[in-house]
Amino acid sequence: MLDSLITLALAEAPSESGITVLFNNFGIDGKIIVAQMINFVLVAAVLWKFAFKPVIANLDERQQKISDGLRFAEESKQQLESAEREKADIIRDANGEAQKILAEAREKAKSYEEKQRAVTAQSIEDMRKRADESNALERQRMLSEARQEIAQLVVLTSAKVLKSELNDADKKRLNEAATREIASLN
Amino acid sequence: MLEEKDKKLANRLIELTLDAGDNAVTEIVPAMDKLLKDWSSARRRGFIRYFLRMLKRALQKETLQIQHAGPMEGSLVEDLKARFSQGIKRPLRIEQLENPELIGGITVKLGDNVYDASVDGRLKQLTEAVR
Repeated sequence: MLDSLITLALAEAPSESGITVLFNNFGIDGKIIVAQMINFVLVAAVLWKFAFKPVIANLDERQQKISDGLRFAEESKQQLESAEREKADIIRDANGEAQKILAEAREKAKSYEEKQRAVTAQSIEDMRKRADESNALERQRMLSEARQEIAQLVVLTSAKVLKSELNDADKKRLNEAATREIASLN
Repeated sequence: MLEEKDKKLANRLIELTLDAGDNAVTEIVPAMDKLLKDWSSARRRGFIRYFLRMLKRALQKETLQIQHAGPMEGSLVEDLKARFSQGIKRPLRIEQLENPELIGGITVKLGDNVYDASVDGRLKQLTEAVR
């Protein structure tokens, strides 16, 4: 095919001009030049098709990946910064909340302590009062028992003495007096 | 449970028994025998129980029980009998008991009423007063 093109070119070539002469003088063969140009075009087309385009596509793809990676890294960095800020905010809020809770707990503990102290004091006072009342009652009971025992002893002693000391005349007088008393009641 | 008409009959018999006095056994017992002869044993038993219980109560109401320590003259007993007989249609029965535990003085019981004028009673009152 190349030979046919060369032959065609030679057949249609104009008669030698100044340029042709110049080329001849410099040893430049037009046919070879044309052939080389066609070869170059063919090789360039093939290279473009099968070498450059995949390489460029590959490069674009890598460039895209790098860009994505950078963007992802940037986003990650921003997210990290945001997370750090959030963490700091959360820690600050948590500290504030903890301080508040601690203050409330201290307040409650203080209040509870005061209340318990008051309750304990009241309990002690109540116990003291109950103990006093119990002691008073016990003392009263003992006095009452003692009084009763003494009275019973007095009565028993009196009864024994009277039984042994009263003679019939005394009893007769007592009976008369008792009869008068009962008769006056009825 | 005794019927109301049987109770009324028993109360009437008690009145008759008390009125009969010492003749109660000869007059009332045969009449009761005749009356209860045809009754069922349960009714008869219930009637007699009720009769005896009410008779005992009636006798207590008409018995003057005098307890005394030491000698008690008859005039004193009569005096008491006269005093307590007021308002009672039948003569009081006198039940006289000597009780040395009274130490001195007397107690008189008529029905559910008790009058205590004994030394022992006085001492008991004293004990109660001290409590």
